Amino acid sequence: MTSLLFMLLLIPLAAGGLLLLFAGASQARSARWIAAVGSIAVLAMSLALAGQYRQLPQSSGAVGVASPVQPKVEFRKPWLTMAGEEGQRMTLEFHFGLDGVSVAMIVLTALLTVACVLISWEAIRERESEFYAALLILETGLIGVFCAFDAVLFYVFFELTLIPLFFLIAIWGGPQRRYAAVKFFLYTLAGSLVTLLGLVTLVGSAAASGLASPCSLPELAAWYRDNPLPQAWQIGVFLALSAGFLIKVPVFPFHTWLPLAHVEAPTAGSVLLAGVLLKLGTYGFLRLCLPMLPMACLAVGLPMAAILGVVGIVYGSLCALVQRDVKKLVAYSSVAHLGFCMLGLFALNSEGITGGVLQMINHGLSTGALFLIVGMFYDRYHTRMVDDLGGLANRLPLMAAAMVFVSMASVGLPGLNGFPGEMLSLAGMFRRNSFYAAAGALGLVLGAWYLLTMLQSVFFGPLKEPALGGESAAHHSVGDLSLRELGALAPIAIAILLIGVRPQPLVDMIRPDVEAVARLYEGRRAYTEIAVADRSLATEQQP
Amino acid sequence: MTTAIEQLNAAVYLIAPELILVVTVCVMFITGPFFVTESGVATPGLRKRWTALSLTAIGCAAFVWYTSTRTAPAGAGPFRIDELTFYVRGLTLAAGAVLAVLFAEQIDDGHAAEGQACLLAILAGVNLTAIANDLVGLFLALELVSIPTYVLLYLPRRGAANQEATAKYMLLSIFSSAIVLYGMSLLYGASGTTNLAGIMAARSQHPEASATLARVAAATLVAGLSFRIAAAPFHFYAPDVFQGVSSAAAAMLSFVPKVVGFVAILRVLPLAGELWPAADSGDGASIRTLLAALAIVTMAIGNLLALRQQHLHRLLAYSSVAHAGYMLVGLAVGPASSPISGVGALLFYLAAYGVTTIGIFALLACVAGKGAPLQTQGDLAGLSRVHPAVALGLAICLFGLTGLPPTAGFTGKLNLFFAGWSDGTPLGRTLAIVMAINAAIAAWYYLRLIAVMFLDPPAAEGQPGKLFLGPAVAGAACSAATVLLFVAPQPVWNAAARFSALASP
Repeated sequence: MTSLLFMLLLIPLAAGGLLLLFAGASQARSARWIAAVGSIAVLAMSLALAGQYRQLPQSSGAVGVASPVQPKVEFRKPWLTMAGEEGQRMTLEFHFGLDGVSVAMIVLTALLTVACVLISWEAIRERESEFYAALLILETGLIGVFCAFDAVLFYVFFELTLIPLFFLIAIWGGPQRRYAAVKFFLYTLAGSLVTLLGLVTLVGSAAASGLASPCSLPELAAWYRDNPLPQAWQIGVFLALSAGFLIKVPVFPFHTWLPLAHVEAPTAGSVLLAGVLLKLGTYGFLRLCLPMLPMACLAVGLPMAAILGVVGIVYGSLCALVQRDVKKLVAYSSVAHLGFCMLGLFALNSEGITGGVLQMINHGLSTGALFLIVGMFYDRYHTRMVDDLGGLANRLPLMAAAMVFVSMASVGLPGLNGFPGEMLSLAGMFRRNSFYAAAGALGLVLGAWYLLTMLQSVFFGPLKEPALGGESAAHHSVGDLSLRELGALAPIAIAILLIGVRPQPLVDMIRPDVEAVARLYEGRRAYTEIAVADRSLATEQQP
Repeated sequence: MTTAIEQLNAAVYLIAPELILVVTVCVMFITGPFFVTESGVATPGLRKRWTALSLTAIGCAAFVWYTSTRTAPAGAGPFRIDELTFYVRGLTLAAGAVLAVLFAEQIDDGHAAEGQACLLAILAGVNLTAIANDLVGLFLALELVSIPTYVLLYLPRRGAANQEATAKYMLLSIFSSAIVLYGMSLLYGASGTTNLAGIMAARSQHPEASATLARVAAATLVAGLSFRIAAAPFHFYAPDVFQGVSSAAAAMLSFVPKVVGFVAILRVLPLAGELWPAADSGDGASIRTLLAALAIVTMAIGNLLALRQQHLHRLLAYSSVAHAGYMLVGLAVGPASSPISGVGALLFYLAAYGVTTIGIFALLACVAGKGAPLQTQGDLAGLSRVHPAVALGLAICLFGLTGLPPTAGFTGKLNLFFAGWSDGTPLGRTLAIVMAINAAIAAWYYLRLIAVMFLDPPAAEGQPGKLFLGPAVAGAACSAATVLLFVAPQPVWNAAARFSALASP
């Protein structure tokens, strides 16, 4: 299985390198085909990986012995060993592993990359081979993040994804691409440098107190379960780590780079950015903060994530409501949806975390598909403005059907994938703190409002199409979804339906990992709750 | 009782690699003029033969370096061979080979012999700095680096800018040498001997006797040597000099003086005061504070001034100042008890920085050649369309200077970061935080260069210029090494860290 994992990392990298090497010489056609074959091969292998992973026996580790972060499959090879004078050692490792969450995220990445290659087939008309190279290298970086179980290796892949995405936005983006790309790059880099500070503290203090391989996440998590840091330290480290993750997610008020980057990015860039890259933030919380810093997560993380999450849900939804640019609308809806994800993760119980992880996957599928469809009608009309478009269902019935389907998934219609994720997130949060959950539930209504308004004015009503350079005849050539576009959407739609109708296999796959983390929080109450309870007790006693 | 000459004879085998280099230098200087006519005309292609000779000499030196003894007891002899020597020799010989190839394209046939000879002399000087066990020997080694540098900078004779650069470098370098000499004289006054081991012994016998004198000596030595590593406020020459000299010379200047400076500091500072003392000693703490302040000022000035630069060499000069600051972080932290020693991280970073910075200058040279069409960042516009491979190599090296994976720059910064942060003192933590802030600032101007190369359209249409083979090979090797040092850093780290484990007094 590790060989399959390495193939997953190496095939996109090799294909990307190949494209880059022959960037000058190769034809656009061959570049597309190389990218398509490469990404489809990766998808096939990731599905095989998921299949094999499900065959593995459930981990038999006794409760309390296994680490809170425990991959079922591991590959370790030393990278850099540093020995101190007093016998402490610091080992960086090429430590790859797989657990349920990472397998799910890898499949999602592979699925969306295939769609990205297909959607760019005709939309990208210059420097094709470099484009596909950047796309495939980005895929490598993303898969790497999800299977890295060494703290430094995780950070390496986390940072590595910046480079190809920077080029994707800066070269093939919209009119303001340069500003958007630079802002995205510097903003996230600045955040992740603070994260590095937190990571170094986390690893360094374990190393100083004698853990032999402090960079290995499973060992680090087990170490901190048995020897927790003092609370003040935990809070400091938590805040440092969060800096990069909050920007990446992005949580309000750190989201300002996101709408800009989304609007300027080419469709493929938006799809991967929304679908997978934003999840690196929440994944980082799940891998580093939740298992290692339980006290800080309860004391600071829970109120912070819940308040910012709720604010993000409401604010993102309201912003989406007033956008005239459909792509920007979808971008703001990401801010809102990831608010649910944060609510779920920081419910800190198994329902909530399961919901958060499901929401990560579901948001990737539905928002990825939304961006794909937006890109498809942009290719046809060269506008994304709500005011310029109307009644597209008359001309493009298939696309309208797909859009309605995906929007329903995004809104959280029962029977489609959005529902179980949001449901579990809110249920988990309700058990932790009913107020936050109730406030978050408000976002469900708002989400339906902006998406349905957009659907109504763009796809229904009388047909309204923008003038294409004065030639009205050109509209007759505007056709419905081509086979290629259907090929990009169909797998995502199938996944949406499958998860909606039967989420159980997916939940079963991630459950052991989620429960391992949630076990840390069993029997602990949130500090805020205790404080509130004490105060109410005091007020009762006073009269 | 042996005489000094006998001592020297006994110790000669210790410096065999340097002897090979110096003998080659003599051969080149003596025979060189006979291949050139009185009017300075030489047979075309002569420079390639001189380059081959100097590469051969470097190769022989490297063979002797690798096979000879790695440690020898220092004692009272003139030389000492320890892990630092081993590491520095490897570093300079590797860099020297790349630089020799670079200089081959940048100096005309008539001056090739002198150019290559100067380069070899500089390499020998760097190694001898790491070997010297005597203040006089150390100073001579430092001058063996400086004096050929003046000649090397002036050899291409490219007009007023080149003259100004050389004159500026020479005057300030002599000035800094005088300051170093003054510091050394104070050390001699404090201990009564010039032998490093002797000074150490004298200082440890009477630590109180000459504490003030030693402290002044330490400050003076740091000031004098800061010129070489281009630390602020001794960096003023760097931008002007880098601007005025050829790419190969700038590559040499950005790397070799840094090695010399840090090695000399590592050798003399422990004598002047306990550089990295136990926490309760006040003496060393003041030197640490000095180094930390120097690091912070250097990082800030280098990065902030680099933001505004348009000229490539000036920008890289300020970037070189900033990197001196990062390395000073390692020096200020010292071989602390945490798993990652600051000195080891510093030495590793030297290697990482060397590969990336020489790589950048080599790739600039391979597009520009002997002339200098690549001056401002505007000249890089659209490089990715004209020469995609060069642009890719430059991007790798620039990401390396930024400190992003997958490059050696990331590993180097990570180690410095770990060293500073896990040092456990407020000083180390502050340094780590300042370094993180500076890394973020620096990303802006490196990214700007990358954006110009990949996003802007080429300035002029037409036939892409021919690439120069030598620098192209050197640049490719450096970019490959930048990635390789990230993937497999263990051998270099071992060599770097072995010294720092011994470094504490």
